[in-house]
Amino acid sequence: MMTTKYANDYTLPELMIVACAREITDGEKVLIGVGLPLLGAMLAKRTHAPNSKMAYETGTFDSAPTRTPFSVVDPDLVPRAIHAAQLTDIMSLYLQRGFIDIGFIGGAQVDKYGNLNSTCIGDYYKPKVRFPGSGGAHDFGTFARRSLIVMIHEKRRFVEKCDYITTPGFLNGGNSRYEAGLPVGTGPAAVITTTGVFRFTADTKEMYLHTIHPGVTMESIQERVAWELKVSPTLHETERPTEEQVSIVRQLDPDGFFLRRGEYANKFAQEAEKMGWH
Amino acid sequence: MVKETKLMTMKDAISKFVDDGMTLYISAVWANQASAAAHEIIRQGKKDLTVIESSPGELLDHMIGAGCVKRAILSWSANEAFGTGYRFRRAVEKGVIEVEDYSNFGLTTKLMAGSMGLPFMPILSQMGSSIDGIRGFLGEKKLRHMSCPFTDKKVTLISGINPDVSIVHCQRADEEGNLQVWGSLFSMKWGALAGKTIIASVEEIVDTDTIRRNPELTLAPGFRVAAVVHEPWGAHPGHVFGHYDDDRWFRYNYANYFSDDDQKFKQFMDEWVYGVEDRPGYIKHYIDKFGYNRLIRLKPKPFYSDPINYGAYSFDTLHMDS
Repeated sequence: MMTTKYANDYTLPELMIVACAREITDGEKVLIGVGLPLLGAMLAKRTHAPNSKMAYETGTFDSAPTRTPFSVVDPDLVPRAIHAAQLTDIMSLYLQRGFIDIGFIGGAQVDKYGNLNSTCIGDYYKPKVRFPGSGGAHDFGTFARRSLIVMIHEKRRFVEKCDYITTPGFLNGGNSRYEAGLPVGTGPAAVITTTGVFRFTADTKEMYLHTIHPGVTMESIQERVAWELKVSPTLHETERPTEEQVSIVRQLDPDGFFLRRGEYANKFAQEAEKMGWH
Repeated sequence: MVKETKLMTMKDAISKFVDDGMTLYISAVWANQASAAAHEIIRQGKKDLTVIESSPGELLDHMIGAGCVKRAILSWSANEAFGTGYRFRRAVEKGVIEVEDYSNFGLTTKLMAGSMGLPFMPILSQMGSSIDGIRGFLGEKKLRHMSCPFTDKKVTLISGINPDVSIVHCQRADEEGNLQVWGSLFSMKWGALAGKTIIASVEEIVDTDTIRRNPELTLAPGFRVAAVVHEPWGAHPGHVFGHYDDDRWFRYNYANYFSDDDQKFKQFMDEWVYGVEDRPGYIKHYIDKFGYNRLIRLKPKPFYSDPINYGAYSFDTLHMDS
């Protein structure tokens, strides 16, 4: 058997992308939103999960893009797809019907039961900060068998109570999610962050720390969580990316649209300035 | 009978069919977005509009920044993967516009119900969330729950909507308004069909025979469409399948340079909306400023689907002895 060659040279976003990819089992059907999970899903497809199928709420199933799509509305998701349809088809015929295994979602706030806020900070009617809103996230989080939450881990984001619940997690824990009418056998499965990977207990549905990223301390994690965080008795380090995984991720993002945002932005801004636009 | 023509300019279509205070659906999710129409609405200074669209990008930002919008029914709004939609964000934070939030599925179901002539439609999401618990201006009319009369299962009922006018940008139509579109449609099918009146801008005007050879591409038959505007590049900087790609560079600059600051936003609008007469003027300005190559590089190489065989039927196929 070949030994796995772990990479020494990788970035935190690359570690998170690989962690997203590792959640995907071969053959699974995955609904993707914007950002890092898109690279994670593409990585999984090129490595351990070649038969996984990507769906996008814009209306495509099993797309075969020639370039890494910059988002769910990239037109390259249509040519060569198995099915090009519309939002209500993906949301009802695939998702509501229970055929989607994984839905990737993000948010500005998460609480200990995995409820997510991507709508606003403060009062809904006069918000201190207004975010874009649900998009498809609410629906992914409602119907996917496993929703995978991807977030930057900051103290202001891991809150006791969300200001607004855009996407229901386990609500108040226990069976409250299912009592509220959400489908049994669905719910958040993991929170993949900049510090570690969190999961949820089978009975109370409370979030706990499952793996910790290399170089991150327990103290720095606890101080960024608003409640007293439970920790897995088998807590271990997050598996590092392999050399192969890192090299594929870099190939997937040649322009740096996802991973070198600053560089990408500068290039575009400079070009505009040069043309006398700014 | 003389063949009816629905062809008109965008200027005429907007002034004839869009009034202050109306509820509008406008396709604004980048794919086949109705940029030409949104900009003409702004130039004509339409006010107090209620806009409904699932995940509008920069067009809603432009319309809000220009003071056209009073209320928005939506699920998400930003400059897509390129950044925050600051006009939208600030307008909500300052209470300048009112918002009603659904999820993408909830919102599009609302349009689907309207399209089908239904007062509401059941779905199984929106439960257990603030989308359900916190209501905007629609209040009790946003959504309700009931137990299914057959199974007792809890369902959400989304109230239907019929916008006064629905505006979409598609690949092609004939002069009678028979309208065709392809690609992934996001919310635009139900958005268009829910409308009491439909305005369509298109990349190409084709003859009716072309429409008839591809009947599965039809979004709406001509009798549903009030106005057809021939508007090449009508979705720029968004994309139209088979015609042009997203202009990421243009879009990124709007999102990250012009959208946030009031002065810069004004500069952008003065240049690209108020400073041009119409869509041909906008495209001419783009070419004059940035060069023809920058525009034309957005055109993808063709990737054709194979022709399919519908069968050419006649009485002959029915008779053994012929």
